[in-house]
Amino acid sequence: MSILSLNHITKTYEHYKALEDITFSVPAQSIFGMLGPNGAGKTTTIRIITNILAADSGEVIFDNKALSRDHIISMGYMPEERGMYKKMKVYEQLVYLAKLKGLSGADARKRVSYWLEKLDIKTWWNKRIDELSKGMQQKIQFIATVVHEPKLIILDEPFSGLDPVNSELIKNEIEELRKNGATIIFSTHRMEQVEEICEEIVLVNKGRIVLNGKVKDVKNRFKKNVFSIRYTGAAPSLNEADFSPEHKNGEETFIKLNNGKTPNDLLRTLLEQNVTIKGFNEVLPSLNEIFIQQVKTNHE
Amino acid sequence: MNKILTIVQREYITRVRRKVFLLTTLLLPIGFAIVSIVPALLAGYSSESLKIAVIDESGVFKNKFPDHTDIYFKTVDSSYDQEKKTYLNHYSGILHIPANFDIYHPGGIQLYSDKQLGLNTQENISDDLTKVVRNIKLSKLQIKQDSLDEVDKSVSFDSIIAGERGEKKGNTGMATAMGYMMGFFIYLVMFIYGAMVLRGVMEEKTNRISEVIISSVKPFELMMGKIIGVGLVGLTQFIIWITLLITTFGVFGLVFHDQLAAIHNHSMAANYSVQGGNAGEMIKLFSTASDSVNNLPMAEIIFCFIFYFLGGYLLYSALFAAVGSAAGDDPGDTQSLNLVVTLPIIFCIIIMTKVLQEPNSQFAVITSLIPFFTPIIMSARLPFGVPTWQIIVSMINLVIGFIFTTWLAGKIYRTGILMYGKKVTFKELGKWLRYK
Repeated sequence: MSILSLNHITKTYEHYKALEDITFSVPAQSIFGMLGPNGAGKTTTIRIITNILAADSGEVIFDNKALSRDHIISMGYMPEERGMYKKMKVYEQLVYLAKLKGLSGADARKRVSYWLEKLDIKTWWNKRIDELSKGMQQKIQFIATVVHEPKLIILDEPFSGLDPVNSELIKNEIEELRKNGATIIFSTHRMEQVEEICEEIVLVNKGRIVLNGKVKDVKNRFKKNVFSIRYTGAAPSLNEADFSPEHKNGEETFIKLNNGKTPNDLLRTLLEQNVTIKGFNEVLPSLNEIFIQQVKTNHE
Repeated sequence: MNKILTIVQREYITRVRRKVFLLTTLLLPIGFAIVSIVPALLAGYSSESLKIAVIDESGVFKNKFPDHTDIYFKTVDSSYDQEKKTYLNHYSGILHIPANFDIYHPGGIQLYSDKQLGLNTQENISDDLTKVVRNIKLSKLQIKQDSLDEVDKSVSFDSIIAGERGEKKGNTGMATAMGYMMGFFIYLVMFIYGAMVLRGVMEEKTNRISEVIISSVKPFELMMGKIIGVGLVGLTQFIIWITLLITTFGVFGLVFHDQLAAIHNHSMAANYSVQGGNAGEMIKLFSTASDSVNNLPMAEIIFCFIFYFLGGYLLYSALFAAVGSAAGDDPGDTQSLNLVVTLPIIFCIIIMTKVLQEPNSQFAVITSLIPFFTPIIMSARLPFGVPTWQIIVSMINLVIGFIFTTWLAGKIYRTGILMYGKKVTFKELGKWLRYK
């Protein structure tokens, strides 16, 4: 079941098509990656989901209903350009933002206290935002995004500016929120993070969807039939038409299968030559490779 | 609605709690009191007191100069050419009337001084000379001083205004002063608090918090929350200012009671004074003010004034919010856009000075019905008595005007607040108005 579906969304700014026929669904309780180079249309898409902008055509379904302003309290959005009132105290600011999300004063105070404690930053409650480091501000911003327990959390580059310790902390929080029922849309151009935490992705470029699907499926779709072998003993002799060597990396040798040969064919050939095999793996392309390749072909 | 209230609350509390607010709120009335009272006190003490030596070789003016508080004339028997330098040690100036002075062809008089004397002093001396010559001429025509005084007696009149609610005593001076003060007050409000709204919006835009907030509330709610919040700050500040002003003036009045009374008498008695003319006039004016105030429909004036005050603030602050949202980080852009909004306000003051001279002219009526001018111009006209229909029309126009500017500002605001790094031109703004 999907919590959010975009159907044929288009958005034009004057003479510039920001989005063209964007269609994708986000499964409930998943971590969904929205990828794309700068200026691809990620922010415009997010702004349409969060009701900041209206689409020119197409529809957005949220929680089985057409998207309306009533839904914004069910969403939490952390923009890439973080924003806080610099002169306001941490606690005051968080309570204010929570109230704007529709929480009562008492509820807002309770939840803010809970989160300050959870992220171990209770001692900052009376500090002004401009007294905090960038990473600290980021944590506050994260609380502001999730304090009202939204069903859908949209995080635009949530880890930029965070040290590894705090990145890990936020990553764990995201996972916990998902377990507790939230869906997370994670917009970024940092592929290694997507690979690590997202189950499904959509790749946007120049206002169009280039790729969409489960990370596993996408990788499979772009695999090149390359296998890595680790072995001991003399180098095997292989028919290069069927098994072309790609490159070597330390103990690992990468071999591409051609002419409809299967991994079993390769293994059989190797075993016949008495090679002692220590490892045999299919090489899947990294999302980074797919991303760069797709964006490039898209540009051509 | 609830969210607007939350925003209003934040806008209000964060501003009122600032040290700057406390300082300006307390220091401004004290400063104002000093600025307005000290010159009045100084006027009493330090009017340039001049001693003028008169060397009258013609004998025409002998002992005929009237001494007054500011200028003392002393006729000296001496030769002008030889001794003029030594006289300057004791006198501010030497007035030399040549031997061949002829009252029918007056000329050749010289005023000799080591520094340039003030314009007022020169005019006063010239007036004295003219008066003496005139009197001599009149007595040659065998007109006696008594008859002359009789002839010179000025005729005054009471101004009675036949208004819609019967007749009442008028006081143009009082009405002018009050109209000016009310118009100027609204002018200040628009500038101070309009700028506050402008800065607030720009701060949100440069801090990038607007996007966070816009994902919770409508841009229009955020804008209105800010406008209302800042408006309440203004109201609070002005209530405190007025209370403090009345108190400080009261205290000054008690402490300097004698001095003020002296100035009062002095200005009532003197025909003119060199420096304290305006201050004296003002005090004289206010001494009769209490009667006149009682004759004005104060309840009506106060109601209308508050209406124009709020209407004017709302109308212009919405435009300031729009400018703030469109301009953003580039101060250059802000200035040129800002000018478009501030120009009509400045223009109002120019119109107001004209309107105060002829408060019921066609020009005054028309300008006071244009919503952009109404708050200042109508407030200035109020003490003169404005026909009810004009007040009603102006109020309706003002409400329509501020609904229009708020609508316009809302459209610009919601696009501008999220727009970065784009040079904002008027063409661009026009496009924003058409966005869905």
